[in-house]
Amino acid sequence: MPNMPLLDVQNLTIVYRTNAGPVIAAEDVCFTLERGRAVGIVGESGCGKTTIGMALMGLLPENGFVQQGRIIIEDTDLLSLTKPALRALRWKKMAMIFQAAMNALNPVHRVGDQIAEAIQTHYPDYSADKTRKEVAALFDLVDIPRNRIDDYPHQYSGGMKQRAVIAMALSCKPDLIIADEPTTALDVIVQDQILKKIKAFQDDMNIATIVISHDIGVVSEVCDNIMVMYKGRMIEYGKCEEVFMSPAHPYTVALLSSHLSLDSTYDFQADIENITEAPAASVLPGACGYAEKCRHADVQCFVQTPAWRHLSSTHRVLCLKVVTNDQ
Amino acid sequence: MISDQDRIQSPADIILRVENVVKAYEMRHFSFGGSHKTSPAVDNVTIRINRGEAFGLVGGSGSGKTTLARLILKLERFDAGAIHFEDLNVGKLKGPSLKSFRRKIQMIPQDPYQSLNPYFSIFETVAEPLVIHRIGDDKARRRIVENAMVLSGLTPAADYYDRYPHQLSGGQRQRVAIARAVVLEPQFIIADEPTSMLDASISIAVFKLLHTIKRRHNVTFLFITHDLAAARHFCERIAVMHRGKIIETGATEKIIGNPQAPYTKALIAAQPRFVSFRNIGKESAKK
Amino acid sequence: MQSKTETGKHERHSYRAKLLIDAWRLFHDNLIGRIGVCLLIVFGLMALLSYIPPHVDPMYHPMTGVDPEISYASPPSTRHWLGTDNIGRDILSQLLTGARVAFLVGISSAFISIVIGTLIGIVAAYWGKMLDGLLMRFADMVMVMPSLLVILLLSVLFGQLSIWTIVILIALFRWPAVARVIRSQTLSLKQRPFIDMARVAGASHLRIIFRHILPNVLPMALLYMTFRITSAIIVEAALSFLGFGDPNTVSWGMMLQWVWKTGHMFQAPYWLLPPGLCISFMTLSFYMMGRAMEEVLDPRLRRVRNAKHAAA
Ligand SMILES: Nc1ncnc2c1ncn2[C@@H]1O[C@H](COP(=O)(O)OP(=O)(O)O)[C@@H](O)[C@H]1O
Ligand SMILES: Nc1ncnc2c1ncn2[C@@H]1O[C@H](COP(=O)(O)OP(=O)(O)O)[C@@H](O)[C@H]1O
Ligand code: SF4
Ligand SMILES: [Mg+2]
Ligand SMILES: [Mg+2]
Repeated sequence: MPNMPLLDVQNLTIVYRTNAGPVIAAEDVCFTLERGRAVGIVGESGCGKTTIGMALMGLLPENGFVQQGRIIIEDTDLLSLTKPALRALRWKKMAMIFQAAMNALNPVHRVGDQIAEAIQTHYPDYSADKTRKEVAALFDLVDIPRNRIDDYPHQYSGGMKQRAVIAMALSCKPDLIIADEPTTALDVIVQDQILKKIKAFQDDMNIATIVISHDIGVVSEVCDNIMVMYKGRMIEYGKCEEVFMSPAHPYTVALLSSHLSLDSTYDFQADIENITEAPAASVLPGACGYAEKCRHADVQCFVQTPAWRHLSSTHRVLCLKVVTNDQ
Repeated sequence: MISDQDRIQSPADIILRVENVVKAYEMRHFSFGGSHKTSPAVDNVTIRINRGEAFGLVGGSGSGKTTLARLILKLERFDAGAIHFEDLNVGKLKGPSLKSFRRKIQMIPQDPYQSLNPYFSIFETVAEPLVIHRIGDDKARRRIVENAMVLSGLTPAADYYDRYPHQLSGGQRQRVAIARAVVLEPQFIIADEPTSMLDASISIAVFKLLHTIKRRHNVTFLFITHDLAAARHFCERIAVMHRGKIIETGATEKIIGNPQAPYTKALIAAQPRFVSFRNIGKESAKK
Repeated sequence: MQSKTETGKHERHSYRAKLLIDAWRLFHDNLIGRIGVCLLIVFGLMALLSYIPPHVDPMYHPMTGVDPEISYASPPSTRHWLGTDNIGRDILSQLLTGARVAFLVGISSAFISIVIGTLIGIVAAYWGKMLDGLLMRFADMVMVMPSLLVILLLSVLFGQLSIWTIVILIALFRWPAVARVIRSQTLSLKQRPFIDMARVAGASHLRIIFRHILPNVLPMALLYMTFRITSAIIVEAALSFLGFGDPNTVSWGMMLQWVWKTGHMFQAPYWLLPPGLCISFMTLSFYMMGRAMEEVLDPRLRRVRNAKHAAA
């Protein structure tokens, strides 16, 4: 099959055991991703974005587990792998730029050495010389001048640290990169550079990318498809243009209209939908998860769980009120 | 009542004048025991802010925005220049006049996770400025605190009194910080990237709140941000800061529509842009 | 992890209570800490029980009670469970009283040194510059003084010192380490934005120090208190053993001195061992508790543990 997706996630449900009982952090997540493509996961903090990324890496914390679903990368079912087999795939098949990773660089080691160490963990047979060359190549790739290889993290600016972290993720030439909030805490110009870089890898190296962000503007820059999440559930999925041009879920609409941009107008006085912070999970059983906040909610929304509705072959939404044309 | 227009014209109504201010941090050499000054974090900055306006200070990280704010707030000494707040010479403030200055000017900090004392309950946090300035008795304080919290969107206020910062979300903490800033009814508020640590969806609510405060209480704002789009929605005038210097000042629309400095142009080019979906979006909110 | 969501509904405790609960959870996981606490409970019971023997019979008074029928060091018997000393005083009741004295000496002198150290540490860090340099040099000087020797000299000069004088002297020599730790904590606290926010609100220096900085350094000060207790107990024992203790109190060090002075060192192990073991175990238990508390308080140590957890 020529168009076989690289990544196929089906009905993924992830649960955390906590003192207060199990917490469903992600529920029924389905999507596919081809090589060289990018999908964006957006939603406010706590909606389960990082959890999905961690599950794809097989790095869920001890108290988290996949309750249901499949994660298939190429032909491998990740969830059926043993730990050593998974470890062999990790970083070579899929790599992750962790949230706030740039602040986690070890302050007492040179940046170049930290990347070299990452390489040597996976290619123990590389000579020091060869590793060094690889590191230099990676620095070129992410546009950090080679003479900064032997600097310490505190000598780097925020943008450079983030590039170094990206270089680390690229060090084993993965097919899939998961970037968790890659530009949060960076300013706009640096954010733009980082996003362009990510986009370039996707195109030049045919890497599939998952970009996780709470900022829909970031996702719009690099992604082909967008997944909007709310309280652990996907609520809308579609092509970038579709979601931006004709958002269907009321939450997506609210999210988009709260994004300030240079060419939009925003009426502060108007009483538009206020997105308030929602705790994760705690969805009423048998109701739409967004019902308590939704302007369009009616009785039905409180007694019926919405099912996916298809607005086009690529655009679907989890809302009872959307008028669809294929039914 | 004079109209806003008139007030801004009158030169007497410049509330804050920053003139040729320079600040360089000292770097200590642990090995040599000496110290030297780095290149200035704030380099010969001059700005004037009119009463009642929202003035935006836009620039990348490390450009010196926070340093300038700290100088204005007298949290740090400047090396040269002068800062005047109304008729007060900020550099020379001491004792009672410093205290009365502190009543007039407040700040909304950047990081809601670091800017509240973890040992203070929310009531204590918001009421502290009243206690410091000996305003009102217990009953009056309760009322003032409640008003400030309601204004900041923490309702019902009594629900929050006995809570502690660790029990609140980032957005709620930022609202507490705002309530604390407005409780003294200051004339001037410096907001240092008040939403940069918050989710995009929550920061809009905070913007709305700041907007309400500005409109209802005629507070002057110095609004610091790295996000030109945010400044555009909130500020009448902006100054663009780069490497410690103000490189461009003017009416917001003018700067965004017709930027002069190369850095401003780059800033505008870097803004994420996606097709203007908003109107379409509103319609497709079907029914 | 930061709990961002509205956890308020489940846990409505103050920050202090939350810290205590979290700390207890971590502490509970810590074997060393648990052993330390168990030992301390035993010693605590001993200190409490020390009030009982004199009431049973005046001859069990640790200081003045003498068994009318025994006037030599006797091994354990039903009358004297741990035996008697050379003039017929009950060793068990001496041992119990010794526990009480050890707690008294340890805790009160540690408390005084913590108060001094914390205040000096905060003041030095808060005002910085000259004052900081001055206070820290002074702390260094005190720190390198051979405290035992100096106290010995003092007692030679002024005759027998009372137990309270000893307590205060120990405290006066033991604050510099506390001051150092508290100073560095305060230095980093000073950078925290909420201190700036207090200044912006117009808070006075005293207010900032006592309302904002002090509560935040208190946990660390308490941790150091456990270490100070250990060292105070050791110093007091050493002084007493060398014959410079308060002759009117029964401390374990004093008991050892009696063993030594009366030449029973090798003849009466039942007399020598109990105080010796008690000193070792009590200091050990405070030390273990301190180590466990350190791990609870110091996020760096904790992270190592967690990382091990995650890797396992
Ligand atoms: N280790 C954990 N134990 C228990 N709950 C967790 C854990 N990690 C995350 N959660 C919860 O799962 C939900 C989703 O978290 P996360 O995936 O980090 O969200 P996001 O990345 O979208 O901010 C949150 O409610 C969070 O509190
Ligand atoms: N306390 C300090 N000591 C030394 N340098 C500092 C200090 N605070 C800020 N700086 C430096 O001053 C410059 C401006 O910083 P800042 O005002 O925080 O910028 P911004 O708020 O625009 O991000 C930076 O280069 C920063 O490294
Ligand atoms: S199903 Fe009802 S409550 Fe849920 S999003 Fe749609 S309209 Fe709103
Ligand atoms: Mg996350
Ligand atoms: Mg700043």
